[in-house]
Amino acid sequence: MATELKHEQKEPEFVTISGRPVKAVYGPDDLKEIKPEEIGEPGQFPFTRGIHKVMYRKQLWTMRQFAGFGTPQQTNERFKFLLAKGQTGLSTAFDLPTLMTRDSDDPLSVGEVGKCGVAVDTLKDFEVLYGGINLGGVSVSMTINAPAAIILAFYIATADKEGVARDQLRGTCQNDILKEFHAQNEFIYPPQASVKLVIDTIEFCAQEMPQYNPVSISGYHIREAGSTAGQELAFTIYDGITYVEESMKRGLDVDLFAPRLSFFFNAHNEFFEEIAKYRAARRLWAHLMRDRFHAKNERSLWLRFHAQTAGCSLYNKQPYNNLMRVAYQAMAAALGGCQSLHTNSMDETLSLPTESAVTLALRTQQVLAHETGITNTVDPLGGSYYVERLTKDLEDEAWEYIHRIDEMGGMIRAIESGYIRKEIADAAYYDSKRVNNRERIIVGVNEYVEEEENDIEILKISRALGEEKARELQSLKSNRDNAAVTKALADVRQAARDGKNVMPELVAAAKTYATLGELSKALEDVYGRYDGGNLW
Amino acid sequence: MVLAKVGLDGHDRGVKVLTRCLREAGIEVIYTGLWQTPAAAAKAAMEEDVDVLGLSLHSAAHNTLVPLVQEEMARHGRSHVPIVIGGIIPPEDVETLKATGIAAMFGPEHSLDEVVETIKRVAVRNGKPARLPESGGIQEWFAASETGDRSALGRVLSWIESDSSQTEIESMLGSGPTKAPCIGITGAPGVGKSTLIAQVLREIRHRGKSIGVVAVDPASPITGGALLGDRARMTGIAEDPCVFIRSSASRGAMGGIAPMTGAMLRAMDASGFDALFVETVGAGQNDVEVRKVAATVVLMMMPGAGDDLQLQKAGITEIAQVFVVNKADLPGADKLMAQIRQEILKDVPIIKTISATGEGISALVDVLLSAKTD
Repeated sequence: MATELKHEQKEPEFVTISGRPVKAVYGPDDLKEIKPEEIGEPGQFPFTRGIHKVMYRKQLWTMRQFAGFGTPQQTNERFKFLLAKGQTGLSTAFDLPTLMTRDSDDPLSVGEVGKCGVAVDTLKDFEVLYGGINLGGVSVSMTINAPAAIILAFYIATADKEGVARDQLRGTCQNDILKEFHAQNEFIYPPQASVKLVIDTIEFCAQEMPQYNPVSISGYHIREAGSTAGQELAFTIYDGITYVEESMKRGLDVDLFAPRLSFFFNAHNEFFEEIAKYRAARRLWAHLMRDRFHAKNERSLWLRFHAQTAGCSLYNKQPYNNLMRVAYQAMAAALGGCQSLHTNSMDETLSLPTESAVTLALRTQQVLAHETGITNTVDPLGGSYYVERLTKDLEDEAWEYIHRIDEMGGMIRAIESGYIRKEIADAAYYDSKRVNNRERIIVGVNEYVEEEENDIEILKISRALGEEKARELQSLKSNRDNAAVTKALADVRQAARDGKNVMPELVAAAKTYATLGELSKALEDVYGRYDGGNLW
Repeated sequence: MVLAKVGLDGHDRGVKVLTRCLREAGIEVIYTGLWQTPAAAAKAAMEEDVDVLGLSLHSAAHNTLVPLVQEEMARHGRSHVPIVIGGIIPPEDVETLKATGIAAMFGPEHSLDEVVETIKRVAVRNGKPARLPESGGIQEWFAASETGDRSALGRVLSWIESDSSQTEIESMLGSGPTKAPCIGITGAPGVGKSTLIAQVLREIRHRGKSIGVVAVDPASPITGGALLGDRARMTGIAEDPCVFIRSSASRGAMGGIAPMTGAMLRAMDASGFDALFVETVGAGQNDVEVRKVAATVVLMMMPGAGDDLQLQKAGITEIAQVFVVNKADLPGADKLMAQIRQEILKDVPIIKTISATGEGISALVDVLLSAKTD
């Protein structure tokens, strides 16, 4: 009786989680304006149906669980645990001080060292973090943005010291600073200088590390900040446009670096809209690369992407429900043709995942890959009236945004004007209101609520860790060759002042055990610090 | 209330949505911006004399940071001010934090309505605003503020804003000009007032002087709620113990300032600052009221914003003693300068600044500190 009443109150409007109206039925009329060649075949331009002819029949997506907490030693152990469970790539999470270029002994790092990721200060920590793991044999991704050039320098220096050739290094550095300005707020230097550093890494990798993806152009965080699917798509693609433009301005041949650009999208709850989003992304990118940037190499036209299930869709009420959310989201990512996938653990709204939770999350992917049969055929939803219509609608919406940002003079101008933040904040507000008014139902949160005792296990990070890490760093600082450090930092400053690619100087400085904080300060001396621009 | 993001994490989706909802609910919200230290958050709560302090934390550092905020609040004599926390707090920590006196904790599972209602509830204690201490009154606070007690000054400013009559204020503060130079900064929205003020404050602090600031933001005429964001543009300087920033909602007043702005500046003056600043709402040429409270009025303009047209109209250009052409690296800066020269008969200083690089700031400060208080 009570349930019936509630259903009567439900709004008669049917919309996606992004507020897009949905019809009761889709049919041939919805596809009239879409030419078959606009959809194409798998492995053919414009790659709507996937970048490969046979997709997962030949190679499954990479199952890559993001991991990192505490000391480099602890994270190293978690890496080895995940590899032993059948994970096929490593993904490194750094703690907040590292993301914000603060050393473990910095006053602003108090209470945060090793909390949300692994704490690293110098090359010494990298030697421990990847100790006993063959960097020539496993692909390693690192989630780092503002200080990406420095962290990448640490990584290269680690490989150099272990005798692994640079051209053997495989993996991805997130290194997408633009989305920090849109959404995640982990920026240090002003937008233009920040983009310059990204281009330094793209150039360096194009020359020395041909198997490494220097940037993962990320919509994930834009979506987590509350954007719609269309905004996630449009702003991410435009960030990609910006990196390509800036790289070409430096004189790089588009076909030299574009094949190594990769993307990172959110996998949210709205099943079909998410699948359509990935399909539209591939189509948009292929067109842009061919028509705007005149890429010739087919690989330059491929939009390869990593997906992660939506952290913002998880709740700590009835946390086991999160398992189901993650499973559906993962399926959308796989049906959308992702190249790699992270499935969130059910306890992530409470803390970093425990070993048992992270194992379940990995098992979710393995069940999807091996038991559901969805990997047997390529783009199984291609041709669906609804999915093709949604793909076209998302593509059109993204083009509109792209043209608007073009008119504003490009992404950096759009950021500085506060436009992107405002668009995202408006969408977040709209969605929060719908949830508040129960126009969008969240099971266990605003419907089917139960009084409950929360009994799930939580991972604890020792509070003494930060102090210990700070002490270790102090001791390292007094035992290294400080004259060499000072000289190396001066070289970094000089390279930055001269407008040169700073990567060679950063790698050299890393080898003197200069700290992340010291190196960032050297860059800040030249580039300045950004205060964040307009709020909303 | 003050909403502060404490610590290094940048997850501001929740805090942004919440500020809007609180404003709709008729609450004046001062948002501090990202990366606040515990000391900065508590200092903001003291200066703004809030009824509630809200902390947003997503970094799992709450067990370290929250007690530090509480210590700082106690140092400012504000242990009684309720603190609410939003973010990701594991259940067992919820219990620990509650035991330390945290008034409420909110996570993604709480509806916006619940959050707003709870905040409204804790903002009142025994039928009175929760900011009020158990003992003491305006005479005592004013006397303390005159000896430089900033915490008492915060209370005096609240008294001026809400509990007082014009006669009472005048008998206490008088109505004459301030001893310290009082500088009003006005200009259209988007011209970069807050960022420029932050730069100017930094430069003045560099010269060893203390500063009081009143930053006026518009209030919603419908709900009375307001979103006061100027403070967030002043991170890095707001933490300085010799800088005191008070946000103020215009509360329906036209003219760029609030009805009590002048009295608030006089109270700051009595508390002893070397310089006083007032930042207007920024409605452009209507901000003439600022002339009544500030001895020196700075009008900020920028190239390509249509300011050149505004120049030809009477009003704001006549009350400014100093003109600033901000974002002077944009095309059209020299043209704008020439136009100002042409339209303004007075021989007034016109200074080019670029907030982003700090260019022109030192020259501007020279002019401001030496300006005649006519």
